[in-house]
Amino acid sequence: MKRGFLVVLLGGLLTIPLAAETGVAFVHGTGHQTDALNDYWQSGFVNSVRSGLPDQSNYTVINCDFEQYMWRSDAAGCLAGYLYSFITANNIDDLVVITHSNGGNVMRWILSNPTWDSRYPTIINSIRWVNALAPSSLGTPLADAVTAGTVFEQALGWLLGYASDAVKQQQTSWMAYYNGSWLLGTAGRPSLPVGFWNVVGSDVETAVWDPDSYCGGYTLNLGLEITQAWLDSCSDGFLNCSSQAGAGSVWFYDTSSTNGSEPLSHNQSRRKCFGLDVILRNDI
Amino acid sequence: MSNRALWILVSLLMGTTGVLAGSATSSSKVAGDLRVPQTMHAPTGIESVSRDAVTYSRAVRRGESLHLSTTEIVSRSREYFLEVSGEELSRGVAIHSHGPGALIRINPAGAAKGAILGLEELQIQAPDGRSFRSADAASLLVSAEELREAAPFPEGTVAFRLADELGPGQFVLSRKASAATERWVIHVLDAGSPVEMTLRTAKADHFVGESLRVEAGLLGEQFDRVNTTGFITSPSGEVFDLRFDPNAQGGLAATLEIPRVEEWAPGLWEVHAFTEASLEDRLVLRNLRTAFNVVWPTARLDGVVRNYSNLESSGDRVYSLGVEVASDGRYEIRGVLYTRLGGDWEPVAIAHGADWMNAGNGQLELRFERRAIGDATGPFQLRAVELRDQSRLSVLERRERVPLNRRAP
Repeated sequence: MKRGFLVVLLGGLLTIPLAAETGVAFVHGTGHQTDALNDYWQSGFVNSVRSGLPDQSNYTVINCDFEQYMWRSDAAGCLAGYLYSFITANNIDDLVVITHSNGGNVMRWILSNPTWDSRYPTIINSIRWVNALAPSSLGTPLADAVTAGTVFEQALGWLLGYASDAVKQQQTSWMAYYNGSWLLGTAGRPSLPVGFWNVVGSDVETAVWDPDSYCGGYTLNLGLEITQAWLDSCSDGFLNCSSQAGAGSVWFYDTSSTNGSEPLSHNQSRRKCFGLDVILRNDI
Repeated sequence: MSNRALWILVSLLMGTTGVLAGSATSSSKVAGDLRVPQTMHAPTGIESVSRDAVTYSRAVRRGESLHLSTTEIVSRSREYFLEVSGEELSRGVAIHSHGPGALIRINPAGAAKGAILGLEELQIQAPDGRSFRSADAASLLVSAEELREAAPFPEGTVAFRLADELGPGQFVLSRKASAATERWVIHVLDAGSPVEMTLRTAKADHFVGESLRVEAGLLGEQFDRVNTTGFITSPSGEVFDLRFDPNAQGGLAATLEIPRVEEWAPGLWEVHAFTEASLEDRLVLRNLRTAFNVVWPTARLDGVVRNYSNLESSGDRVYSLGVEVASDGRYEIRGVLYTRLGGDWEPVAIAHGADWMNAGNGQLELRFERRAIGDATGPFQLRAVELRDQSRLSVLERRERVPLNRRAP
């Protein structure tokens, strides 16, 4: 189905020149990254995925401040800067964007608001599709939980509260608003201009004796197993499955395609775990 | 049927099924046109918005939803929180759970930020009077270090889940070593309870000065007494009280004229509501927030649409829509081009156009590129037109149909 979508889309919109250059971009999640290659994704994951490119040097790993609201110049503006420079400098017109968590929302901002910035149309027209790993498309109850109680600090305390703007934005009622007004791709709304394919993480498994629990970091995974208590039975420890599948289309649920049918925690869905890197590599 | 029972029935009919751990859901419905009754000058919005004129168009996908809609947001909660002093915590704080296995989270607040709370310091008295150390009363214990790894909870947050076998009811949480100056926020997620608080606003966007109406509900059980209080907060931190009164349907509702604030700030307004309900000797507490947007009516369509398509050798369809602007800013127009295929009007392409506009009368362009239109040759209609203020992140107007005037340039 994914390939069929590509053919229809290209036939309707784009004329690919014979010398089309394929590239891949890695877009991190919430957080202010300065070395996402090593800190967020880890180089082994990125190098494995980009080995699927005809020209393996055609990749970019963005480093932006996704602690901000998605429309901010240091969030979507920064992402647009990376993508636009990458596209124009390398003649990329077949770009696969890989996002994780809130990075999916920032990417959807660009896709949904093509006239916000003069760079956006070029970026949109160069994208083949987006592979969204565990995107927080409908927000998360954890963001509501993190911000609850801060209003007691009233006025300035509310502003200085515990949660960054990005966390506030990912509260469920906030994302419901933005999905209904400024973001495309959710149920009942116009489609995104390119395919937005979700990889959904459905569980967190941690056991001291299970080597799979150590992929991505045991301590991180243990924390996510605990935060599942705030979420639905189908979740990756940070996001409900319903949120991950809330925009665009589901590409696959983790256990249907990973090695050993292993679930992907919210941490593991950005790491070289259970063959995820191979799946993404082969998709390019 | 009593008014209370009727209210519960109405709330049940309004609600959706499903067990949620305190999350919001939304539903969309066709709302028809949205029009700015009168424009007004507004504070400066996002200062870094682009000053470039940008257009974009694409073909419509088969089966794509193109209806203009407003979003009705219904938020739900099975949780509440309360703020206590160190002195109160040392004397014992009552925790009310309606269902078994409540999840308790504690974080330092205010001057106590940075304070360390060890799970082993907590004592829990169960509803049957027995006292336990937290480790003996909990089926799950979470240290601050473990929580910090997983989610951006405040520094020093600890959590535990009450063991199911202790049942629901009134627990007493205490910590002997608490200093009087400490302040703690205690969050209770009553996930094992069917009692769910709901908050619903009639619409997600309100013009400044419009009336905000909020409906509060409590689903899952019939109560003798239900009391809800609340307030709204602006993105810049102002607080305005809400008063919830019984409505004609036997529920609770609050109405407030949206105040005009001095500055525009990014982010959404929120309704904060706190419900206390009782049935005989059982107390149920619920807190909930839901978001909405306040719109400064900074511009509106003047109704004039000029068709420049006959001047285009490219084959693009180009329309210029007149806009009355009251505040400088970046504005955007969106629309869908329809053509007649057989006997029906079918959508063909979507276009966006944005530009910086100073106060006064101006125009925004919708350019439907030839490659987006494809083989369609007309006749054409313009539908689903939206006017937006990008500077202040607001949807100003929605028009289901926009007549294409026969005015030639």
